[in-house]
Amino acid sequence: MLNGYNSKGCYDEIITANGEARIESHDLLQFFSEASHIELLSRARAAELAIREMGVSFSVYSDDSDKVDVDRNWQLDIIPRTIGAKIWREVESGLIQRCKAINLFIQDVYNDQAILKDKVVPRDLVVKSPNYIKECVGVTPPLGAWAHVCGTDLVRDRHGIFRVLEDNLRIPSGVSYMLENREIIKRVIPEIFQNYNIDPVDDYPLQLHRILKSLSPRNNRKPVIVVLTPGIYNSAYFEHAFLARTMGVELVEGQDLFVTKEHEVFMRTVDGPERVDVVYRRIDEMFLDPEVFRSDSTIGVPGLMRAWQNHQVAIANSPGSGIADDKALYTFVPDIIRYYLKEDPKLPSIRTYRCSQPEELAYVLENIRDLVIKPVNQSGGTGLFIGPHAEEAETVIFSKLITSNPRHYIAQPTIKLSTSPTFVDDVIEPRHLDLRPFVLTGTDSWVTPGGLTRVALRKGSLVVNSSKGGGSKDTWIVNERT
Amino acid sequence: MLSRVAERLFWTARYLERAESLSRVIKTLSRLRMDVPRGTELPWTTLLAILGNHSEYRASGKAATETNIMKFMISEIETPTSILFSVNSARENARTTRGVLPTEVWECLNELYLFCKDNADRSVARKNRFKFLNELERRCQLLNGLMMLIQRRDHGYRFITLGHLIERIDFTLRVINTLSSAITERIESKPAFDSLIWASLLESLAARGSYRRSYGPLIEPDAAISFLVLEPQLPRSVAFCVRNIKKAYRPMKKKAAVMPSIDMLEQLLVKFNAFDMSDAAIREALEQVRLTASSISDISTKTWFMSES
Repeated sequence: MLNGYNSKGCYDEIITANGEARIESHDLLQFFSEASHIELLSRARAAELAIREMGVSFSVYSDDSDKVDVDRNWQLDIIPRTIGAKIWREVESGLIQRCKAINLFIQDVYNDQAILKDKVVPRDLVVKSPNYIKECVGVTPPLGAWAHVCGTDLVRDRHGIFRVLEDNLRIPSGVSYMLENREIIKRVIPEIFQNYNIDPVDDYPLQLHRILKSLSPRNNRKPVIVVLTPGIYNSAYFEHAFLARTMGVELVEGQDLFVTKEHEVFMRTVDGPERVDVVYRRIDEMFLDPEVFRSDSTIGVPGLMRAWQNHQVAIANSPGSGIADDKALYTFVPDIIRYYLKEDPKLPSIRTYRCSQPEELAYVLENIRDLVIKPVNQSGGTGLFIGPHAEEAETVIFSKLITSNPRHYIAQPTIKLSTSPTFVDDVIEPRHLDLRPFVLTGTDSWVTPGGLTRVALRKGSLVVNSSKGGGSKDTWIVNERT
Repeated sequence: MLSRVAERLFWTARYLERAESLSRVIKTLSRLRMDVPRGTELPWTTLLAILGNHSEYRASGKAATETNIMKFMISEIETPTSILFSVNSARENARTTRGVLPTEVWECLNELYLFCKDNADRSVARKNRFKFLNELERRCQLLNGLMMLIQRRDHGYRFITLGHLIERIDFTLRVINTLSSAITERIESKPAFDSLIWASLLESLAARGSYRRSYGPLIEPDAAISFLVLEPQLPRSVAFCVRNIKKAYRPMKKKAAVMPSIDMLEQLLVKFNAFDMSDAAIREALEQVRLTASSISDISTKTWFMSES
């Protein structure tokens, strides 16, 4: 099945440039290269069936209207992706360092603003950002932690070096799929786990629950934690329900909660109102509280912000955390790490051009065909411009867009994302992928072993987003045999 | 238990119960067509009369043929009284309560939905109809059994139970009344075959063997109705449902809101005596029972499901 496998100069996660298996992938590769075509098809079919029956789904918003394609089945490739434990421990400590610094940064910009006074980060870039929420000024959330759950997207360059692509600090999603992927691969290909010592991933709900519990404003009893979802039409509804179920807490919608004049939050239950201590919110902050943000929000909870400001409830992630994942601030994260921790960043970033700087804007416009341009305030791969794949007309339009609103864009060189053998269209071929680990921050920090690997299923494509034809892989952190 | 979640569990159960009841009654009528001589059979529109959607059907302009009515009752997802609609609604309600349903229950319901979606269309013709309906009922029963075995006995479970019981009373009484008037309204009266109708109704509610043990093998209309309404040991009788509705509400705060209606139901049942009443009086009494049971559903909505702050 693997004859003619060629990753075209990209780093391959499983197979070296000489066509041999990496140490941690040896048995895995042997299993898949010896499997017959029929065998592979039947395993892939079994995985699809398991996904359908377990109801692992996500929803996609179509671009042209408000219509939602509810409940599309999740895509999982049957060949896991392996990462050696040794290199992973380094990545892990880099992620913890990064999130620690980011949390200190958020606390600082809403309070003392030392980093702005010291001119390490330009004041305007922060306080004029639409992600800088004035209602957060002067607030110190429990433990001084703001971004309790951070999903950091990593890629591996052609040398196999892990680099940070971006941080997601508002409502990062995908962790439930990481857990379900492992569950499905265990069901479908149980025999390949035999010779491996792989870090288990199912600890996540426990760790998240532990962190959320530690944020409770009342500490003399069992805190009441809820997961706040926008509802069934949200693309990540499956995940919201998954996390509520696995943590054993209520999944609530805005209409289930209300805030009293004393700023206390209650949920409406069959036995009457019940006090809520911690809200794990999966609603964008613009819709969180119609008293403060968008008044037309029907999914939010009126008064939730004042409850939070008055320390009557904890919210994870804290409102205002998004200031640090503003893509225009991405380039400053290495400086932010040095400033607060007096350490060099352990995880490298990607060279990034800020279109707000005239000389960098000029470079971007001149080299637009070699660059990826990203709007600073979008997620899910929307509004992305990929130079090498763009039509001439599109290039012209984008150049105009950037020139008219340079603050709105950043640019990065196109990176040859690493690849991994993937079973698509009846053959095993290399496909590009990235990795989203999740970092939890509270009393201490915790990183998922591995994370969610997203894979671009279309040949040659670099777009891994599940809403844009991406799939996923089970991700293994492989320990050396003992 | 969140009020919203309790409400959705209640409706999940009602829709599941409805899908199963629809299946049973479609099978009964289909089987009767084969058993009784031409001219004495009940028309297919009897099915529409049970659900009270005769006029909607007429408005659609379709002829009242077997195929059309089966489509309407089984596979048309836009029809609020079809099996597919019920199963889909049960799943949608459950999907929004996945936080409290055990994984196995959700997977089982999801599989039921996938089964219906994939097969309902092909199951309109007689050839596949029984196979489909039998499998549907089997899956509903599997789901109910699973809930009985593993669901926590909290308010969520109580509202699931209530959804089943309230829907069951409603459906059973609609069927009895519709069959009773269909028999009366028929031009050509053939009492010899009427007992077949009641026999298959008992059969469809898994009550025939139990009936025989109480009344003997001869099936008489008054005895059959009386049995289905009052028999305390029969899980599908109205009396059994009322007793368990009362039990489910007992541990709830605010139960005082429904108790008058439950007391009234009990009194109506005490007064009910099919052997001394005319057919019309029976129908009137049963309709009153049915409406009182529905009022319990409305009171629950106001008392436990609606928001308060």
